[in-house]
Amino acid sequence: MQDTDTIVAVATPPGEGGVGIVRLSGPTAQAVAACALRSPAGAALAAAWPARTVRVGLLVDPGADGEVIDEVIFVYFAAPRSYTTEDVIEIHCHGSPAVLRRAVSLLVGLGARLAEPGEFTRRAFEAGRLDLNQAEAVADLIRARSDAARRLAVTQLRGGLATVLAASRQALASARARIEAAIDFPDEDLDLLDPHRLIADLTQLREGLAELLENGIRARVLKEGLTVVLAGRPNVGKSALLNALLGKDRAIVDATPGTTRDFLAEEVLWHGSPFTLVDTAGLRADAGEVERLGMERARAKLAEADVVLFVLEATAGWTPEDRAIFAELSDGDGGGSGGGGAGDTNGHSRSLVLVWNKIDLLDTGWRPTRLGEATETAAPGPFAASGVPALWLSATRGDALDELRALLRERLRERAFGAEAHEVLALTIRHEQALQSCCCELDRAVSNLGAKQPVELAALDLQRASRFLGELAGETTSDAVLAEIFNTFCVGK
Amino acid sequence: MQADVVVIGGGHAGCEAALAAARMGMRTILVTHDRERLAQMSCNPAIGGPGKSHIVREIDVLGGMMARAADRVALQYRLLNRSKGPAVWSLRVQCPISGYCAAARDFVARQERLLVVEGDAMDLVAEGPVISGIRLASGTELAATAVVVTTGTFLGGRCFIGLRSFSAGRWEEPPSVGLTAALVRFGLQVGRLKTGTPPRLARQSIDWERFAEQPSEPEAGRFSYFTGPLPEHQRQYCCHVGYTTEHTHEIIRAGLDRSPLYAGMIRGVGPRYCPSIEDKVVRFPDRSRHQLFLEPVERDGDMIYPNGISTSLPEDVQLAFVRSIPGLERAELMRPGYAVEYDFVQPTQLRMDLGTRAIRGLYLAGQINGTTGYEEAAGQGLWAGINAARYCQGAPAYVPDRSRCYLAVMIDDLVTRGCDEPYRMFTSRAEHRLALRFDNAHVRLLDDAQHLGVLADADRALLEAQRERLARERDHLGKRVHPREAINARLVVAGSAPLHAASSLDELLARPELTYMDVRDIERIASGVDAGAASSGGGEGAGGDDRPEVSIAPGSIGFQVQMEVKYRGYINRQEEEIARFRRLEARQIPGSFDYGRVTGLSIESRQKLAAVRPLSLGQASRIPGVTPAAIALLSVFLKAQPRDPRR
Repeated sequence: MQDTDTIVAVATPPGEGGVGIVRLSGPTAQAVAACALRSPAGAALAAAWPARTVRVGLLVDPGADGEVIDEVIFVYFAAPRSYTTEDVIEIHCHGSPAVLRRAVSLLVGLGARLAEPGEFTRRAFEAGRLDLNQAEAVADLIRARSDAARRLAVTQLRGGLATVLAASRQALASARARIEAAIDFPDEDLDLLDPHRLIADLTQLREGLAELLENGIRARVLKEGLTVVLAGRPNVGKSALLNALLGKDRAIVDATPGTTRDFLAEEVLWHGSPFTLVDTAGLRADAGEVERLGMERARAKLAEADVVLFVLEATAGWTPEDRAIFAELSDGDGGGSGGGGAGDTNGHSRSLVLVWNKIDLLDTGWRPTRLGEATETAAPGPFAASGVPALWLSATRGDALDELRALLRERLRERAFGAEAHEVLALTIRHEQALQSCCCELDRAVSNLGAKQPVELAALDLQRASRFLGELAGETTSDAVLAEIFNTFCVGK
Repeated sequence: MQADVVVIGGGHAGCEAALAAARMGMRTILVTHDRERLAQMSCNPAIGGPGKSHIVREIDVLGGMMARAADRVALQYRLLNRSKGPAVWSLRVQCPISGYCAAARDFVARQERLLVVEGDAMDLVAEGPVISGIRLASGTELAATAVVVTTGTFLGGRCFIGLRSFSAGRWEEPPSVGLTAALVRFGLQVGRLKTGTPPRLARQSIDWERFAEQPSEPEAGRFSYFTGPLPEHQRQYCCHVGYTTEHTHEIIRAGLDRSPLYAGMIRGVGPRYCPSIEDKVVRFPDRSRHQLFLEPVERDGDMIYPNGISTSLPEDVQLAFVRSIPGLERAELMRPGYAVEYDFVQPTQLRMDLGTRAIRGLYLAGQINGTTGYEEAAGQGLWAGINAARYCQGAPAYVPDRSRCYLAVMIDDLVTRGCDEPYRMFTSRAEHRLALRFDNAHVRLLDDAQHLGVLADADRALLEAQRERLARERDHLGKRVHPREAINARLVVAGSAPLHAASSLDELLARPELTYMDVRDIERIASGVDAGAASSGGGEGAGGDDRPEVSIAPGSIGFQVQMEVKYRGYINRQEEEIARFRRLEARQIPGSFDYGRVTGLSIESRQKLAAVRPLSLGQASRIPGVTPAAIALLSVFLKAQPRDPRR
């Protein structure tokens, strides 16, 4: 068996450090790296890479016009003379978590997969290049690694996370026990399958996990900043707004709709707080091929957003296209995406702000300050009541830009609120994904139960949810459910 | 006498083992205490249920007798879990005990190369580490290449009624006493387990009016792929449901001081999922009543089996608590309930083919491996019989993995995890439950059956034809229909949205509100055949003569197609998990692997691995106490080890 994916992960310990190493391994490692690495002068690298040679270069984001993420040194280990025996590229960045996170997500975007825990070491083992003496030496390493992982898990588990996670696993085992007992003991005189109760219990469980996720994200936001994504129809002035917020012309602004074909990300500090502002391609139905690609990327960025600025044209009012985009934005995590998993990251917790741009072009004095007033003529009632904040501004004239900045700082404070108390809970991307996936399975289960789908489907959802929770806790659950059935229910005729 | 395979024991495991070996061309001898009692149902008179019925279907495809025998004599069919999805629908059949025995005798008598010998197997004979035969109490020796031991509860069997206990394998039948010594001599570790059975009641002493009827569901379908529809003359019977009362529980509590369980006389561990009534009362004191089912034991016999009140209390307490149950005030006990304690061999000492690691050619199957249940026993018997035959033929063992069948789930659980209580099959033990369905056993196992040569030609052809029809019907669903008034009218009748663009039948069937019947109807309309005439017409119509019956009866082609389409998303998800699972299963560990050389392993992991001797990294990862770090290490050493020269 051969793993064919190219994997990527941060190889150095989590947290701030002088240097952080991002490691890529797999058959396409070089191809992936080549997309993101440039010579110090910014030129593309020659095709033949000298192996085992330390080189200086730039890590750039090709998707953001070649924006420089960091100055790096990198080393290429050609297969089979590498740690994993595959092609390996190590990229030594400056050790800021934000940079490392960005680098990893960039490489994932270019086709690598996030490595499983210990996957590099496992690949090295499985490649079998070690003789017995070496293997013995690595044995200690494995134990050290798993001990370290266990200690880390124990540390993580102390405090709030421990309580929530232990309780969550118990709640999940109990829900599963009820469903499994109903399937395996159909003759019993037990009212096991009260869907309302199951749904209530699972919803409560999910809320607990969502809170955990929120806390983790807060801690991360405090360290790494808030991601703000600008979205909307083409030509509503998103790029102009980005430039205005940055105070420099970063994006190309043109009157032609659809000028921004790809996304553009920029980091700024306001009053010492970090923000990543992301401009995206306009969303519209009748786009060309290239533009559609840009829209796909825009949607991917939206999934990562902490805050979405939905930019609208004050002169055009609430158009049907806006309504469609609004529906998409306010329903970002409502299923549909299937088993995609990563696509929903943060989806449930991002917040939305309506930005009515181009008020300088309005000739009337009509300028409502709340969404309800703005839309009561054009939008249906529930929309007005949805409590989405709205701002009226002009990117070109600079009206109300400070208001928007203040609102974003407010969002940052909200997101990071209480994070100090949860410092230890700062989640890794993997934790976030495991929690996210678990929540996603719980949602499926709830929706299956609600839709009166056969109960064994919800059972599968919960089986998977339980695996993700087990992953998070560093344990696997196996017979827990049967034990729970026998302890709780009087079964057996 | 000389045989290829000798099977000790004529229960469910023994019969299937002997039949399977003989079917595969082995000269086979079955040794039993009583040839009249082949495949006796010692406890409840039913076969099937969740998980168990899946095993029965797999036995059927692999040429076994259980499904056919049950169908031949069935008193009642019930399709369990009907309120849930088809993936967990399960069949259960009530059977007359003597009728089932007669059917088993008939299967055994008709099987060529199979000889039944009455006798008491006293000892196993081996030459070094290789089995060579058995010895009967009479002194007769039977030489054999392979021996399958299926002693059920008879091995060192001891029955308990109150504080009284006596040696017995079953009610009024002597135990098997010598074999344990032989197994121990071979170095096998033996433990004790316990099970129990309720008292039997006299039919005419029961006030039937006080119980709720549970009728047969003849439309539930048949167990076997080969038995055809239920004949009119095979009369169907009801079971009856009743409840214990608080008064019943008081009587039981008052008798606990004379319970062998609570007085500590029984050492063996009983099953938690099949507790005695005294266990239920003690462990769940808040419940004001417990359910019981009255089940017929014979077609027109006098004996009734009260399911749910298994007990080992003294007879006077049994009678008193039975008579406290509404409707049983005047009940007569035909025989008391009792607990039975017996020897079992910890199954971690077996290989996946159910052969012992200690002695080559010695196979164990059924309750001796720590399981309960006729179906579990029969499944293991079949598996051991097939593998004993393969051993005699010098062919590699037949060991499909957990993603293929419940049989493999059970046997992998047994040999990998061992038993600390009697093992029973549940659907929740199968992690790939949606793929291992009652309806698709033939799709899963027909190729294996062909390869093993365990099916008669006619049976094989029948299953092949079914499988092909299923495949063809899937193709049919690719057909596209265009929006037309008549079609849309039919859709609206079914509560479904009309078509605006062309759609495949498959897409229509995926709509939750549409059934296979609706879709066939729409197909007919599309091909211009009148719907009304066609829907009553059955098999004929647009699709040609070869199309399956328009039915979603369990087991029909329509049922299977509908199931596959409606749950496709989930079945696909399950397939992905199976692919991931198989990657680890494919990493094999040589049988001769020396875990002592893997220096990084913890002592616990090393001992567990050496005891279980897993076949693959996947199996190793399921052993309790073996950590992920141990698996990673093992993986290195496997790669580093020089290739086995024989491969």
